[in-house]
This record gives sequence, C-alpha cells and structure tokens, in this order.
Amino acid sequence: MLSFSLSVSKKSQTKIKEMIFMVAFLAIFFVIVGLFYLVITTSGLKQSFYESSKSGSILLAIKLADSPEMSCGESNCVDTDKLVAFKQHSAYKNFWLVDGIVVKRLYPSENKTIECNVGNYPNCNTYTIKSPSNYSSQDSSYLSLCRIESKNNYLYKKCDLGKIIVYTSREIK
Amino acid sequence: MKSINLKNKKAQHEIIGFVIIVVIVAVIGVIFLGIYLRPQPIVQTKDVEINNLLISSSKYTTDCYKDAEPNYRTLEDLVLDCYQFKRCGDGISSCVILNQTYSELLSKVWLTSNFGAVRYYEIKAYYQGNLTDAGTKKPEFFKLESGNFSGCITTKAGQKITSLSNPEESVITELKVCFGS
Repeated sequence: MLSFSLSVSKKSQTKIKEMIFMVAFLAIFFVIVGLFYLVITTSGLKQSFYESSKSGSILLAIKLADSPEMSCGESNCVDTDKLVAFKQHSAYKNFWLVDGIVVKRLYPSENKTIECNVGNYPNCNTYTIKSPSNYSSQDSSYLSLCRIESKNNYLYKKCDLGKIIVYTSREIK
Repeated sequence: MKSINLKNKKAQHEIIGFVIIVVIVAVIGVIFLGIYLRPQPIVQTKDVEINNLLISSSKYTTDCYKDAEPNYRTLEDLVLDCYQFKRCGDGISSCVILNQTYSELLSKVWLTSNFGAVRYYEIKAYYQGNLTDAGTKKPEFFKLESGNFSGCITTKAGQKITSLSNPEESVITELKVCFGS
C-alpha cells in the first residue's frame, strides 16, 4: 500500500516537474520573442526621432536664412550684399540666439576657404556671421546666395548655390 | 495488460502534446525570423533637404542668356527652355548648358562612390499635364545620373513643379539621391 502511494507520488512529482519545465520554457521563449520585437520597434522609433529632429534643424536654418536681415526677398534665398554689410557690425554677433552661423558658397566653388569682407567681396566663399563656439550640433540647409551685379550698364541678379550652417548647443543623438 | 495499454495511451498523448507545442513554437520562431530576415525594400521619402537643394539650385544664374547680356537664364528657366528646344543667345542649346551646369553643381554637392554615403543620384525633368498632343511631346526630356544604384539602402527625393502658360500643364524637375549608409 505504502509502495503504491510512493510510486503515485513520484509519478505526480515527475509530471509537475515536466509541467514546470514546459511552462518555464514557453515563458522564456515568449520573453525572448518580446525582447526581439521591442528591439525592432525601438530602432524604428529612434530613426523616426532622428528624422524629425533633422527636419526641425533644417527648419531652424531656413528660418534664420529667411529673416529680413538676410533674405533677398524670396524663400531659401540670402542677399550676400546684406551679409557683408552687417557682418562688420559687432552688434549683430549676439542678435541670433544660436552658437554660430556660417554661410558657404558651394557652387561655383574654390579649393580653399576665403572669408568674405568688404575688401574682397564677391571674390570669396565664406561668410562667418557668428563664429561657432561651445556648440554640440550643427544643422544646415541649402540656399541661393544672390547679389546685384551690373553688366553693359544694366543691373541684374546673380545667384549662386550655398549652404547655411547653424551651430547650436542642443544635443541630437 | 489493460493498465499497460492505458499507460501507453497516456504516453502517446503526452508525446503528441509535446510535439504540438514544439511545432507551434517552431512555427512562431520561423515567422519572426522570416519577418526579421526579409530584405528591406528601398524606402523612398520626400526630403526637406533635397527639396531645398532643388529649389535653391533652380535659382542659380547660368551663363546662358536670352537675346543679349545680362539677360541671364536661371536653371529653372533653362529647364523650360530645354523643354521648348530653345537656344541661348550665343546659339548653344539650352539643354547642353542645363546638363553641364547641373552636372558640375551636383558633383560639388555630392561625390558618389561605391563605398561612400551617397551611392547614386539622378535628376530628371519631364512634362506632365493634359496630353492631348502627347504624340508630339516626349514626357522626359532631361536626365542626368551619377554613381551606381546597387547598394542603395534609402532613397530621398525632391520635386519642383514649374507651371507652363496653360495651368493644366507643368514641367516637373525631380531629384533622387540614394544613400548607402
């Protein structure tokens, strides 16, 4: 009688063990699958966060380029005559609440960087409106760099391709 | 004898249950692996940066002039001139200047290579509108490309629409850039 009850109890123990193993195995499997899914989802989130931050950064650069102090009257267009004029005034250094603004001409391009000033304008390619300092990120946007030129006693608008780079201490990871 | 049969049946049931669970788990695993290892389609997104480049470059003043200097044409004007087979004041085809200028301009912006960030770019201009006289008009009249499209992971694109005199007709300039990393 005793041996019968012992054998039944052992059988039940084995069955309970089997059950525990199976439940544990399934739980671990679903946890791994869940982690796998989370990793995939969060990597997508990171990407979309980065894309959205980048769009915001580009908009900041466009907003600065479209300000009346720089704009040539059209969107995405900077008047380089204005840039040269106000880059001489130190009052403008702290006018924009960013850590640096540089406008560069991309095309036509020279091999070396020539900082623009009243003396060499327009035979130059870089306008440092505010020297970059203590920045952690830089955002840029393409724009037209336009100026008024004259030929055969006629005035005309001459536009090049450029880029505005805005330096900020805002961190985008 | 009866108890042995019962034991065998129980064992069979347990084995079948175990096999079913293993099969279910394996199927779920295969589905997840399939999703994970599925080749990602090349995603083409409309991009602010590419659109800005297209808008800014369209204002670029070229050496092509109309009638007399300094009535210079912008790249946007040249796209329309090229569509209408017009020539510059010095007799050179507007399409030649358009091709040459965009080729130089884009090569200054991106340098395509098989291992770099930018693998390939393509700029094209085509007619879109009321195609009643489609027989005489070729939809795509300008195309310039550089690099190799293979190895593309993401593609960013921008578009600029220039209306013609008829509001139903327009010329579309499209820039597509392919990034490998």
